[in-house]
Amino acid sequence: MKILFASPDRDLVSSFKLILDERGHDTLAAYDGTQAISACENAADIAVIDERLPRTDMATLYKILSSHETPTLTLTYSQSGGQNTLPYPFFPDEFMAACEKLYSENQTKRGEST
Amino acid sequence: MKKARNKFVLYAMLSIFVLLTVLLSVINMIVFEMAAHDADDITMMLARGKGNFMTQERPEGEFGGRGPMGPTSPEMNKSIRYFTFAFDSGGSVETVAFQLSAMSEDEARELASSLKGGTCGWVKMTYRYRVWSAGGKTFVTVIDQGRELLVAYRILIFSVAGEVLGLAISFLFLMFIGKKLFSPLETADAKQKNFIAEAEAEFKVPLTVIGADIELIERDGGANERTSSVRRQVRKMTELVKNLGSLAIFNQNGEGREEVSLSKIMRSELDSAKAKFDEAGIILSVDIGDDISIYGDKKALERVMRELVDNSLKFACDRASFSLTQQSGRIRLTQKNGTTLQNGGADQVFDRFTTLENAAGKNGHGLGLAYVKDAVKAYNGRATAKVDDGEFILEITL
Repeated sequence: MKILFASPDRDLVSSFKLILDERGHDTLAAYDGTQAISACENAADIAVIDERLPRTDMATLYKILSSHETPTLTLTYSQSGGQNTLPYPFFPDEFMAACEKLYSENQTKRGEST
Repeated sequence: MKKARNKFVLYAMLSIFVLLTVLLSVINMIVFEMAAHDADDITMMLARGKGNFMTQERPEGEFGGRGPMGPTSPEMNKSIRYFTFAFDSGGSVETVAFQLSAMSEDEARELASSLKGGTCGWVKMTYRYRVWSAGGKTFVTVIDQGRELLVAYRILIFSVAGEVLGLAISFLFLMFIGKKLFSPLETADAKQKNFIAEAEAEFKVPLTVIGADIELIERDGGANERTSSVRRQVRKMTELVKNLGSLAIFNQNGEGREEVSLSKIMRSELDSAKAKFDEAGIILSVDIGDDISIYGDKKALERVMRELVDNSLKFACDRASFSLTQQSGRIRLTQKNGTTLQNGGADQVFDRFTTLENAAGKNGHGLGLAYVKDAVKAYNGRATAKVDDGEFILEITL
């Protein structure tokens, strides 16, 4: 699974990149909106976006991700998150479960549409 | 904070209303009592004069001097409207004095006749009468106190109008003062909430990073007692941060409220937790009344139910029961956990960061029931807890 992980916290990105790499996933790291938009071109299977990502208009970023048909998991700071959100703080297992659920849902959706 | 400000204005208004009402009532009672007292003095003077004013000597001084005021004033015999009738035992009536324009002599006689059996008092609103005896006859003297009472009634009307005006001015003043008084508190409250929310957000990412790093460290060097301890502490802090956030965002202002079915919420929460109760070996009994609802914040109420269920799952030793009933408009929610705790009150469970003796090793942080208490308080309800005969009983009345 190719995952775009975008967060301004370098330690967070670095730790989760290692975890994802160890589990055999390919991680594209981004630390701001501009980098995230550039990374969209690399056709990630899913995108994990911090809701406080700097140097971007989140609506534009979501629009671009949507145009690439990339399902997005948003890392939120509030407890009451909506669909496809994961509230901070979370553990690697919760994170992986959320990514895999989003990925499999998206695969099912694609399978139904073809 | 808005609620506290409204409460301040309400209590201050109530105090002013009570104070003004008592003060003005006493003043008006004295005024009416004095009018009656003066009238009784005059009828007594008329009784002494056998139904008429005794001839008074002209006081000395320029224009005879003003003389004293009230019933002993030299002007009295000219200004009082009165009549006196004498009734003998044979039934004949004699007019002793008649100085009145508002009624004819016949009407006055009829009125006097109807008053024979009394002693003294008010009649026809503004007339004061006295019944007295002399020389085997019964005398009835009636005086008109209309003018004197008019002053008393004017004072009463001005008192009521003054009170209404005073209350209106006080209300405006209190609203203004309340705004000024509570403004710094509201700012501090908003700052505190903002600080908690910001601090909570700032804690969240580092906790996530630590959690991830511990996993990486364990993968590289293997898990040991130290890494397990850090992992436990991170989990504990994660729970604390999540709960702090919920307390900070708790909505006490009544915004976003709707008709919420407590029966449905409770059933749903207990259904979701049924497997966990079974897994923990806790026998669960449920008694939920139908269609029990409340006007409130759905998310907050769901959280209350979740906290209660969570409390049972963590602390019930063998059995747990939940009941939801409604009687005379009051909703009663009772949660009972089997416990090994000693009998006694246990209201301290509602204090933040406070847990009972049975919480050791149960991952309780003393925040769940603190949230429950805050939520219940927002609905003017009451939450109590006690231990009785091996049962921890938590009762919520809304």
